[in-house]
Amino acid sequence: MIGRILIGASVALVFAIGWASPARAADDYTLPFYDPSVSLSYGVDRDGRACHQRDWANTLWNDCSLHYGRVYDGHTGMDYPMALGSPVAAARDGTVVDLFEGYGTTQFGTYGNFVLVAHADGRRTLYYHLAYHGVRVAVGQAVSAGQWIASSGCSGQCYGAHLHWEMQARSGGAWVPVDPIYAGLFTTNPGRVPFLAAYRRESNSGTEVIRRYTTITHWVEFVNRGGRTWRSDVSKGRIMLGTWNPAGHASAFAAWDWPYNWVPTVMDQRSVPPDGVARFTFGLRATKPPGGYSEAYNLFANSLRWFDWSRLGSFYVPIVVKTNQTE
Amino acid sequence: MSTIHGWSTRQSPMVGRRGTRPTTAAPLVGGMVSMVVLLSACGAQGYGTAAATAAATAAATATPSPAAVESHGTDPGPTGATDERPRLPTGFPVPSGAISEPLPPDDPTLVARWMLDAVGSGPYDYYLEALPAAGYAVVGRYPADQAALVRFEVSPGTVWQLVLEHLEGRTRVTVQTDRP
Repeated sequence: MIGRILIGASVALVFAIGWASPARAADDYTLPFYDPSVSLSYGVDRDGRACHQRDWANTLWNDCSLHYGRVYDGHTGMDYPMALGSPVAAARDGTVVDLFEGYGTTQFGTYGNFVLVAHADGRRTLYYHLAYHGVRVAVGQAVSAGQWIASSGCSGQCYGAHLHWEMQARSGGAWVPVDPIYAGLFTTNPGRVPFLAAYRRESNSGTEVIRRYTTITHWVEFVNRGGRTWRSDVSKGRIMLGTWNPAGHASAFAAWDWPYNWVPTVMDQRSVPPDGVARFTFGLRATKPPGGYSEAYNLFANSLRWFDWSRLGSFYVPIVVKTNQTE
Repeated sequence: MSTIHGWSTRQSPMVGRRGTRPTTAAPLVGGMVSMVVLLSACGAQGYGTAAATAAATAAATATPSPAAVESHGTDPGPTGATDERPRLPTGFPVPSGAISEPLPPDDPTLVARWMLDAVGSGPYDYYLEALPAAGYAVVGRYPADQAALVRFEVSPGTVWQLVLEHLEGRTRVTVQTDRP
């Protein structure tokens, strides 16, 4: 089974594929991890000749050297350095078609742990060098874009902990590697992590003063810095605001309009593409005794992932509850 | 000798001096002489070949004595070093068991090369710890499938790189000056 996934075995086939038709789609591929500080170690070599290397920008090197940040000779995928045990995410909706997780996390050898996901566009993506028993999905399981599917490792042919992520397409009866950057297959080119947001502004960036047993309306805006389009009209993966520190705690300020006592609201808009601005409007009802409070909130993709709260501006609302005149 | 990732590190027996810039031929040749002397001495004392050559690799970085220069002229040493080739700084970490390899004479960017009887993450992780421990700031790390590259500051503003490559069940380590 594992033999099918031998990295590099299909190098000779890479070049059979036409590096094809850039056709960017709204919900295409994202980077297969969550940490936006991870940068590419090496990309796909688009030149089939030994000691000739061509990267996604068509830069050509007639040598066999490693060109950090760009390419190395015969490389069939994208290498991303990441610490052992880092979460690996599905780059797009799909179905798991194969996996193996029995090799040691840093066990060097011909083969390593992997997950292979088939996508509706006919391509498939390979997540390789995974940790021992680091796979969180099963063969046949449907996975969503941005879903945590495995933990990274350094199994197989691996010099230093990293994720080898490879996109493949069917060509001439064989699976051949595709360079997603060159082919323009990321939602944003180059790719971005699936879920990332930046604080923009809010209705009151100071302290909200609320009279006890009354409700005020608060809104906050975030810029979509991730690679996925945010949506509110789906179930799994829709973007919502939740209480934070601790994550998902029952709020003492939940108003009648909250979907749950830990979810102030769903995104106001139906859809917000990368770089778009999303607004979240919600009520804050004071029932606590008069005094000073604060409550932190974070975004999450429903059933998939909390956002990185620190990168989101560590958003919280200071609240002062005052005595109601009727008390 | 220190231990990092379970490997012991041999450094030059000379006074530690990091950030050595490319130097002239005379000290280089002296270093080669030291290497030969060390090889002989280790052999005589019954050290294993790997340990001896590792020490020799480190010794090649040492500041030579004038006498050594006089007696051996300017012949390139066993690493294939040329007059233009920079030298490995004193105290540069070399794992015990490293076996010195000759350098191709046509690439002046190569500084030193040795083979390790280990593969995969071990050598890579060793250098991610050993370089900072020896005073060399790591400025870039680029792991890959059958090779890896670590960029480090050999002296303020000067970056070198260390390439680890899988070769027939072992790892070849090459230190070279900056290369795009």
